[in-house]
Amino acid sequence: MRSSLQAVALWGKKAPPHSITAIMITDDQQTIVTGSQEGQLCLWNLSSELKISAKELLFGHSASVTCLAKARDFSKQPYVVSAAENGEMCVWNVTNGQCVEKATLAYRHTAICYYHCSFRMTGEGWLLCCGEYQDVLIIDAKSLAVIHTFLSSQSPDWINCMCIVHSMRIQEDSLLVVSVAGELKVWDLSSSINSIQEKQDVYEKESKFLDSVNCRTIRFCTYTERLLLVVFSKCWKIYDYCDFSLLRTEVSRSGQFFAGGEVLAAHRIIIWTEDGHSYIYQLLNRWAQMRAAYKTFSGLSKSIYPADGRVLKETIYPHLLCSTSVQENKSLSFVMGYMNERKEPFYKVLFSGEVSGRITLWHIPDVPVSKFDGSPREIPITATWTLQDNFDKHHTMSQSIIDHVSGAGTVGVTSSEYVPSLDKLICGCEDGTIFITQALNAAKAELLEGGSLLKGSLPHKVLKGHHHSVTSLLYPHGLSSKLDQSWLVSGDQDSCVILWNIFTEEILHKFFLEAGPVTSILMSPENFRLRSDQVICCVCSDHSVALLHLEGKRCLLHARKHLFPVRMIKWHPVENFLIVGCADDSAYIWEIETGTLERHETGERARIILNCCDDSQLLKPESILPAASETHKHKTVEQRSSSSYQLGPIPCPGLQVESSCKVADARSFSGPFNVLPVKIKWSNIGFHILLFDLENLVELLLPTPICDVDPSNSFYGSEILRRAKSTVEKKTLTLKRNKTACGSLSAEVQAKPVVENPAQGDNTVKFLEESDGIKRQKKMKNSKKMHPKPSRKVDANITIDAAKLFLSCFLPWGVDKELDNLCIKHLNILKLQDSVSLGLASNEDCFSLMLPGWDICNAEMKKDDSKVNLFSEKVLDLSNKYTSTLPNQVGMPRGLKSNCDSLQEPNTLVYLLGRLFVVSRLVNMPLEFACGTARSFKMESVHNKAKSPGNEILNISSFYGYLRNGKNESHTPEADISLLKLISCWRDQSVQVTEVIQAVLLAEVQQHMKTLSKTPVSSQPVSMTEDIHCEMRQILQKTEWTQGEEIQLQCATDTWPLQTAVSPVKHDSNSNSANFQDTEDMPDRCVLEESESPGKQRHHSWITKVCSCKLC
Amino acid sequence: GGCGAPRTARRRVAATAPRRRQLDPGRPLGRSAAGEGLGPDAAGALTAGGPRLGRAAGGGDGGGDGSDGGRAGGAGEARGRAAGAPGGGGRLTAGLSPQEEEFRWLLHDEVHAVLRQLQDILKEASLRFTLPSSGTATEGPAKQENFILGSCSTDQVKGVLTLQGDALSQADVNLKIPRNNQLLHFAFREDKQWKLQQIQDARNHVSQAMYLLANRDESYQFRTGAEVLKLMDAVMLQLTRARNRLTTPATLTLPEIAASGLTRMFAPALPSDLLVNVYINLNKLCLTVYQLHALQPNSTKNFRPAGGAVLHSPGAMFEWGSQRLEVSHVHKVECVIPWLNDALVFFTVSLQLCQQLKDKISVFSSYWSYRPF
Repeated sequence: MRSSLQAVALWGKKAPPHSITAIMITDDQQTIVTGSQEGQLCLWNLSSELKISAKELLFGHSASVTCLAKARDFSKQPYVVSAAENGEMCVWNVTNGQCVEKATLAYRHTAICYYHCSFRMTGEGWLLCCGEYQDVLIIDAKSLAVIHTFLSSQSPDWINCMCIVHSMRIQEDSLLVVSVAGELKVWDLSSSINSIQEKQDVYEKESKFLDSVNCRTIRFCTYTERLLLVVFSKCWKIYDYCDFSLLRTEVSRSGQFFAGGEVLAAHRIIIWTEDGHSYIYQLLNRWAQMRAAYKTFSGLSKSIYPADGRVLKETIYPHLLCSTSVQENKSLSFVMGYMNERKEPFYKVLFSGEVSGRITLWHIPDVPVSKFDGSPREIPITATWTLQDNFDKHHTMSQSIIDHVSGAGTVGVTSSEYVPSLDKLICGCEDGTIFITQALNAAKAELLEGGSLLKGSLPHKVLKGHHHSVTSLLYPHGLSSKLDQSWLVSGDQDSCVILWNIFTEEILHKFFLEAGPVTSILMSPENFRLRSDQVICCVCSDHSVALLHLEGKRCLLHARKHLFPVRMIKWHPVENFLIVGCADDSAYIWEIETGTLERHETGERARIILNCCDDSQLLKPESILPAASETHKHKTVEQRSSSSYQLGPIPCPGLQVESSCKVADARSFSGPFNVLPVKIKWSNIGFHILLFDLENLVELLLPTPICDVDPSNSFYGSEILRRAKSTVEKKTLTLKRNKTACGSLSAEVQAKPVVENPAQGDNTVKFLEESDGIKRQKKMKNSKKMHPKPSRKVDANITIDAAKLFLSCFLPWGVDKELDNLCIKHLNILKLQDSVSLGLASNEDCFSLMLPGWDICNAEMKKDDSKVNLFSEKVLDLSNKYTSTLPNQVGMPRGLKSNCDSLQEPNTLVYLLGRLFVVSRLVNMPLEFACGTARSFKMESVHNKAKSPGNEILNISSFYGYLRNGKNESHTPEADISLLKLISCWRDQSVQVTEVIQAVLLAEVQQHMKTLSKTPVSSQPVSMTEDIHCEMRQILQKTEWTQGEEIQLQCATDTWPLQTAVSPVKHDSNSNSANFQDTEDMPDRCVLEESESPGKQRHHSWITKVCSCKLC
Repeated sequence: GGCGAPRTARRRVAATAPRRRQLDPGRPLGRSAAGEGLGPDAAGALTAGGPRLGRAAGGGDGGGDGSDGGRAGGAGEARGRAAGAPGGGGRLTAGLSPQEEEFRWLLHDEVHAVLRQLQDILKEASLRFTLPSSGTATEGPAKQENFILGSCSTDQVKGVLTLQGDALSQADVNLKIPRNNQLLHFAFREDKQWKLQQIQDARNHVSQAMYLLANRDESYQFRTGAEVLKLMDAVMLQLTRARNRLTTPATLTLPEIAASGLTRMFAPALPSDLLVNVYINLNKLCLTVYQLHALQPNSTKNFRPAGGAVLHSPGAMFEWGSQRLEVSHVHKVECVIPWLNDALVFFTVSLQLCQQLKDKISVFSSYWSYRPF
């Protein structure tokens, strides 16, 4: 997800499933973190009264989460690390839900312990990990790179569980682990730090066979520093830490599996089971009660042990004090934990998470006691909560996007597709109907006040033809412009596929596949054609694949031999083969013409077949883009593992793909506004995310002369330009080659989100293209020339509507009643009904979405009914600070006058969005800047390749250019410097992007509305708007500028035909790049200050020549 | 239901299946029968899968050492229980449609039958790995097996490897060098064992899978289909990994082989111009011996270090210490380990069993996601 993408989630009534596989409470006892089998993390707010409320859902893993652990000293940095089934690891900041670091290793962890020894260690500490590999890995907590391993000399095996023992007595930290086979091993921790940093082998100090398997927990009693609690699934044991002699074994009742335990206090322990029960025991020392014997054993133990260890074995027996249980269904499996906090205001809490997604808390009393008669006391449940409870409680915030459609509110949406070119949202429902509605209007009706008036009156179409729930949809025109714009293909539960004309709402053809639910519908790539037509490919849940010919209305091939679910579909254009990859790593090659199975391969050969024909297009049933990224991840994993045989096993190919989460990637996004349907694995429940591309919105709203005629021609429309560009392409290619020689480019290309082409069909092509270097890019370019991309026409009204919706969703309402009214009146936007679930992207694949009810989670914020959608109290503060940096006189020119509201309104929108965009980019800058010029060059090349000028990300140089030039001309430079300083200061304080956006929006709107109410009539409205236009034009101008002089030149003469000055421009662009090179190695703050002065001068030299407005 | 049968006919059969089952509770419901009466959607997959499964299982029986009787018995028992289940259909709730009733039966009875069968198969598989069982009585040193490794193409290398569970406890390697008619002999040090990580990992994956199944016995009630799918996905993940560990040996670079602890296992130490690697490929224990010669520093040969590979070919070059070395001869000898073969067959069979259960559940996907049973 690009950082300029802002998201709003429309969750719907049903909470997404969240089968908890890992749970922890942060050290400040304010947040519960859970990881789910579906691959998401959930942050839950825990109030000081132990009330739970879900706050946000974090997307980042593509497989089941296996474990969670803290990743820093929590009081300094609130970071938590999560590991997934496929080797992914993420470090999250749990206060703002951002992913701080992400890595994919060839190891699957099942437990992680954070270790930091401040006086012996530099850096952020270690993550000690164990899992499906031998011994213990040491991973750097900051970079997530493997530092070293703790090796075992005796019977190395997988490690099941571990704990760090810090003994005050001997001032030494030790690592205790139990292996799968039941071997207890001890490593010195603190004294081996040096040898580990020097990469020497560190072997275990002691080891002992414990005689039980399936160890679940090992815990050291810090109170006595003597006892060791080891919980196995069928028994738990107490050992003496001094010599590891067994003191007590307690076997589980039949059918009960222990899951873990903890030491509560000296001689008091808690044990919990897989089915959610827990038991608190007092450990009584039999000998202590027998005074006579006491003396003999008080001297303990080494001297006595060898003599009669057998007697000592039975010195401890447990007495059950209390127990806890969950009421209903004991059958679900639980993950539990215990948090011991001795000081006020913290609690001793036992917590559990269930597969059903329920969290339960028990407040454990400081001194648990049994009943008077000695029977165990039941400790009541203190709090329990699920995601669904959040949704039910805040139902005004949990809107689905088609609730308003009459009759649709009650049925579940089982599939949906958004058509950006028509702004149509197509939703297939549980009952077989398909609704087609205007997405923007639908979103407005759900979110905005007064939108409910729209309900029922919104135009929508209902397609009736399916008798079972609609499982998949495809809009062919969105993938290939050659296909009829009216076509829609839908497949249902009963394997009926219907071809519709969405304009006339009639059924063109019904295909009966008779192969179970149609799980997905795909289209063959552009380079694959059967008698000059592209074909549709339906994957059904009986693992068959059907090829349909839409023009001919017939089924070409029904491939039914697959034993396992279809994971991958490839096309061999030359030989007319369909290659199907299945979940069991087998490959089937079908001849399309004859419909015969040409070959069936398994194992190594299948892998080769599936990997080698990368030339054909790679598609995946679930969602197209994650498939590509998955295989990429997989490749990196494999490469790494090949070089690390000693350290870990090889990942299983194919499994990563299988376990991928069904969250479609935002990279397929194009245009200013998009609706992204998201489906969670193992469920039919889905939800929608509204995505706004700030940058694109600004660009499209900007009224440039040519833009008015045809938006797609605004920048690159003319043929001359195209020719100019092809020359530039050559240039950037060489540039790129140079960069590759310097290294790091190829990696970066992969890491960078693709600059999108409006044609969605090109996405996958581009993905391959991007990863495979120059050669292929050329090839693809050719193929693209053959097939003209669909014209990119975005209706101006849609853009304006999207912009307004964006403002509505991000403005904190109710801060000032008068302001609200002014906004409604002058900006012509509507107030929100309730807070919306905002989304935040932390990098390409990680993003967080707020859950309904997030706004009451902010502990410092009392739920104030008047304030709606205020992200945090901090926003108001930030907003004031921002206002104070704005120079006073700026308020005047920026006030866009309202003689004729209808005309000014877009300008205001442009201005506001432009500011937001600039600010949000600035806040995100350090990330970008780290990559320096390399990235800006790369962006150019990607840009040229992609041929989608409208969607270019503004790069940094243009950015500063904008800040300097665009503003200096009309405002005081100090203002900008102070603004820059303020924002970089925010950045350092890690203020969240959402907070910044809200703060700036609030401040700007306040400013704007103030001037509006003061001076209703402006003296020179026209020039003011011109000013804005000029500013924005410069941004765009600069964007292109970075692409090379030719373009710049062409563009200048093209867009502003009056201009003839050429040489100054040329000169400027040179100086620009030179300037940029110089600053490459400087820390970013320096750059900010430094580039100030030269930029100003430079600006004047060209802007006077180029810009048509009189002000500059 | 044969593959060739017209689709519509199969549909009709499927639609009447639940009713038929009620009328005829004594009907044995084996694998094939379940496939036939399963419903329209999974039928295709099952009919395709049925015969294959039969063959695969047969192969397992044949390849095994005869101890498969237990497994077959277990399966039979499972079938018996499954057949009895509809008889107890008296507790069917009124108002449920036939499909919902069938789904209920599937969740409450059939799933457990399959899980039981799966457990039996995996138990057999894990026995092959001589897994230390939770009962401590059977504990003891795993029995030693000797394997004579050879190859039909060369008699230059002969190896006798002794496998003890997942570890190589002894190794004797004889290498004949025709150039000078020299016969070299190396053996493991007495005090050391070499763990075959592939076997260990496969064994551990199987026991993980068994653990996942262990706490889902008959007393456990599945409430939604999604729950079953999740369990099956988790089990299949472990089984696929177990299988892949055996089928995909690590691709190592030559320096990695040289640095490996295996080279230090020998007494007397290996000469510096020899490298040895041991791995599992499918059901075979493989031993490769690389003969090396040093490249002269002033050699005109283009030095290009070789990447990772399972088996390097002569001419592969690498840098070790300060020396540049080239592989001059490669000798690969191997020997089939019968119980690995069994284990692989068991993996395949249980994976198919899991997939079939998933397919059966998915047929009812319109029910399971919304209403718990």
